[in-house]
Amino acid sequence: MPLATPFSKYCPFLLESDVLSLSREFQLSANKLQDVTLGVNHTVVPPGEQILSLLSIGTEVRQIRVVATTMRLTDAQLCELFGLLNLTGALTYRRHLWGHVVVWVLKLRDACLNIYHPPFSWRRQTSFFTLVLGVLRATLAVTLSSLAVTALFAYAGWQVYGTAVMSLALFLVSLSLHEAAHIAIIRRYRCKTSLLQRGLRLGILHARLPAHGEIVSSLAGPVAGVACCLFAGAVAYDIAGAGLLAGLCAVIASFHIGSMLPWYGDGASLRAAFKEKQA
Amino acid sequence: MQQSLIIPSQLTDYSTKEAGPIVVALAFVIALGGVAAAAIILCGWRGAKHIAVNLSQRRVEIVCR
Repeated sequence: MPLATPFSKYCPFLLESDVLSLSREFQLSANKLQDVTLGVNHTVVPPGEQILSLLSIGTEVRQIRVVATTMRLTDAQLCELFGLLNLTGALTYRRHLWGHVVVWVLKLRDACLNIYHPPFSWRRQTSFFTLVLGVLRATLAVTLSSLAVTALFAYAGWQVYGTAVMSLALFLVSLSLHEAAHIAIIRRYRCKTSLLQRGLRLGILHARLPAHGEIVSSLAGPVAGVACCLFAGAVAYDIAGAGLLAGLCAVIASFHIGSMLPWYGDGASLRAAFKEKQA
Repeated sequence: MQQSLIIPSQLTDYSTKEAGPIVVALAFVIALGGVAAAAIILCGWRGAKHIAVNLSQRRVEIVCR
């Protein structure tokens, strides 16, 4: 029987041989799981404490299941726990290379049956290196699919391929600037930040800011991204006369503007901050 | 009765300031694929030698091979 909370849907696909552990950004102490960056404590209910102790030393899934069975825990309870840990970026894993292949095949099979498994989250303290790595991780599928499409249409002239590569580079740079602008503003409020990447999503986690700070930091990202694209587009069109590249710059700029939609990350933060300010 | 093993803090909801590249992926692939497909339709499988987009005149110039 599923539990009432929504966290199970974040439970990633696990192999019995996967080794699960807790992220370094979390500390387990006396029925509390502390998120060091956000400074919040999650309450661990006693049977969960033993499972989390196993995670803190790094344990194979099959061993965790054995312990869970002896404690009469159900799969739904484990799934909910792993789901919440994955949502918060607290769950890290080690999987051998062959395991990745097996998981891809099994996920593809399940996708044919309309069953989708959430990817593992990747959480790190923000730094220049982790920001670049996070952007590359989140955009890997985009990068590969864009290159594949343009390579398939290479008949259309190599100029298109060159333009595709340049616009991809601009996309990656503008995305990095977008996130860097968020981080810069949040740090001005002396808050720690963490980078959380899950599948195609990349975001910044931080402790709650005052409403004014939240508004400024929500706006800073899209403004930085759009400014970068407009500058590149203007240079491409005015100096190089590359209309196609300038058009793609506009497409990428529209993506940054799109992140201000109310159901999106930045837009949702902005809306919540305005509500808080009015209250 | 089944009970949760962890109770999340109510002080945070883990929503992030995020950028989901899936939107731009679609726009990007459609834009590039569209231009390339247009060149193939107009020039055949030999493709185009040169493609230029003039935004001010709203013209796309495709020079076939």
